[in-house]
Amino acid sequence: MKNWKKAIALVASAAALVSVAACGSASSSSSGDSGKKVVGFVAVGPEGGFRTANEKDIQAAFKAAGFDLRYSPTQNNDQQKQIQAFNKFVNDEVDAIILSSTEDSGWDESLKKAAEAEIPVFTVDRNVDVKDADAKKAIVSHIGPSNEWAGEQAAEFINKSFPDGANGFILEGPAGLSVVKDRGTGWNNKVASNIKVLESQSANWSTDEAKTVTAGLLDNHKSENPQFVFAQNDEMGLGAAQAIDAAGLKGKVKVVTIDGTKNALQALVDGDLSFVIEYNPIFGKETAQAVKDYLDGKKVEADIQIESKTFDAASAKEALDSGSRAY
Amino acid sequence: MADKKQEDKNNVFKKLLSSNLTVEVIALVLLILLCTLFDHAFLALSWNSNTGGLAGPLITMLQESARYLMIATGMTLVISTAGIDLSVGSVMAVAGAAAMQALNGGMNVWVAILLALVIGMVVGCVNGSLIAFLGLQPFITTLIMMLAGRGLAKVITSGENTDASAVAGSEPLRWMANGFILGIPANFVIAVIIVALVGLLCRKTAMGMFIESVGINPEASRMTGIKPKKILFLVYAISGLLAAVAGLFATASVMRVDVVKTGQDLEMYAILAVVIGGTSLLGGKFSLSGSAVGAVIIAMIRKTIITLGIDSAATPAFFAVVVIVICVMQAPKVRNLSAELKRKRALKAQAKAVAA
Repeated sequence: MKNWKKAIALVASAAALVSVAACGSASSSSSGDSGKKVVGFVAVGPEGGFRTANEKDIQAAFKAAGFDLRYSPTQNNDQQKQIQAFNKFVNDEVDAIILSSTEDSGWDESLKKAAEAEIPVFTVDRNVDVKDADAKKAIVSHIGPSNEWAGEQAAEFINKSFPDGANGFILEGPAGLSVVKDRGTGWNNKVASNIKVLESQSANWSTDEAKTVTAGLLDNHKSENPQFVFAQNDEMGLGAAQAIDAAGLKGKVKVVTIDGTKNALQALVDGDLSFVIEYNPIFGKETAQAVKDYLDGKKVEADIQIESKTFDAASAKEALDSGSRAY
Repeated sequence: MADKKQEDKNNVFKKLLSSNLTVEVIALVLLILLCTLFDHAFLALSWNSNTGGLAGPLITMLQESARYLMIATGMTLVISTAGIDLSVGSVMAVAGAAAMQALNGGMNVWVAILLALVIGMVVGCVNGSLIAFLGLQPFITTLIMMLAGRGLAKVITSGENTDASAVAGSEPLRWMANGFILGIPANFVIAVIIVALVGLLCRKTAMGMFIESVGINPEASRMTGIKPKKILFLVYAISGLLAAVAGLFATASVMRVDVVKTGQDLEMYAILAVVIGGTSLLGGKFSLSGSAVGAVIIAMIRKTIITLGIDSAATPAFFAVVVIVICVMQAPKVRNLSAELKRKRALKAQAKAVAA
């Protein structure tokens, strides 16, 4: 009995603490409400170098553009929390919502509510897959680099490196994410017919898991002479490179990754990776501009593509030496 | 005389059959057989002069099992006190983050290792004191610690995935996760030694009995002179410490901490390993060797997924099916099935005889 009371008290106090913290952040942002437009940002939260750089940049850009940005990150890719935050923004009648969704489906209901309340929604980085026509109306524009383009670049690099064909693996992110699908589609669009993917496995974006998975794949397909690994993000590529190194195959297996974090560029310079396709996270300015234009009544393009670069060892060294990389 | 020997043999055989450990070993062997069927080179071992150890699918499996061994051992002790520790995965991330951040900050590698272990143990001690001295529910306390731990890991690395692979002088830590002792993965050897030490501590002293008695009835154990609070505190502290070791294994393997992914969902794997090992979630009797084999099984299931090339969308389902099958194999009803059938047949025969 005593235990229960204590447990309940603890949970209650924890909940109170959380809500106080939530109120704190909300009220502090709305307190400076002197005609500033309020924009809700349904975000992913800290997840890695890319995400941190992306969300910090968006926050900074909106602040600079004179918006009152309310930042609401989720935890561990929990979509439920994102939906709650989204609905809260709709109830608060913010002027616009920026959505960086963890998953591409399941947004129909929330978007419909936003459409009813006439709140424009801008999807950034990750696109959402909407079936409902009413819900579609809420989305004004998608802003971000193209995942398909990144996948295509990876395929083209492998095509060019192995004109006579080669075998290899793909390391995917968690199944069901739009990023995973789009990067895969891009690869499939461009990959040459003599390039054979022996196996595609998910390593959950994780370095550590990618190392285990790659070690397993290398063991399994030793006889088929694997020559490349296409990792759908840097973190997994770094893990794959370590497994390749441990198997004594460094230099014999080319690793291609997408994202372009500092760590990956360094690994590129060190020869652990062969090719890195940037997935440019710095587009806060473009996003703020699009939101501003729309609220001012100007026309905004439905798909704003952010330019990204590709790196080999030489250009990676240049980029690192210039010290301009934020992530 | 001969009869007696025969009977003894039968008894040993029966005991072996009814033991949980046997079922586990059978499950493990079946999984290995399954993999060998799909990939004929699965059991092949070769010498990798690059790493100075054996190489092959089984070796990478053992390498991965080290971290499960650590958390499953801590979890066994906790569960046997009728508690649960949901925070082990987060503690892994915290310990790993501390070690990587310390290395990046230019700290000596041994100090970094020690720091990670101390932080893990401190988190365990916080769990322990909340549960033992304040009487909070283990489930709630460690659930909160699981959420708070992830946050703490993010604070330590300021939200980044700290990479210490380029730090000079970090070889001892790297060796811990990737090196070999006499051709066998060092982390597996270290993990087995730690499990053995915990086993000795529990079985050669009265520790194990104290833990079990606290799990069965804390009040009665208090009356017999055992201090249940101290025991409770101790098991959570040990669990935290072992989780920190697991965190070091996980991060040192790639010399990089992934604040969101490191140790994610591993508390569930640890609980599964313990349950497969035959320790009841209600507390009481525990089997460290059972949990250890359970931990290896978990690693083996993951290996099977890669070897069979199961579609990434279907991996959680496959994992669940295998675990369920193992649990069914272990259910007393299924295990006693043959004995039950025999008894029924005998009864029928008897009935027939009577009727005749």
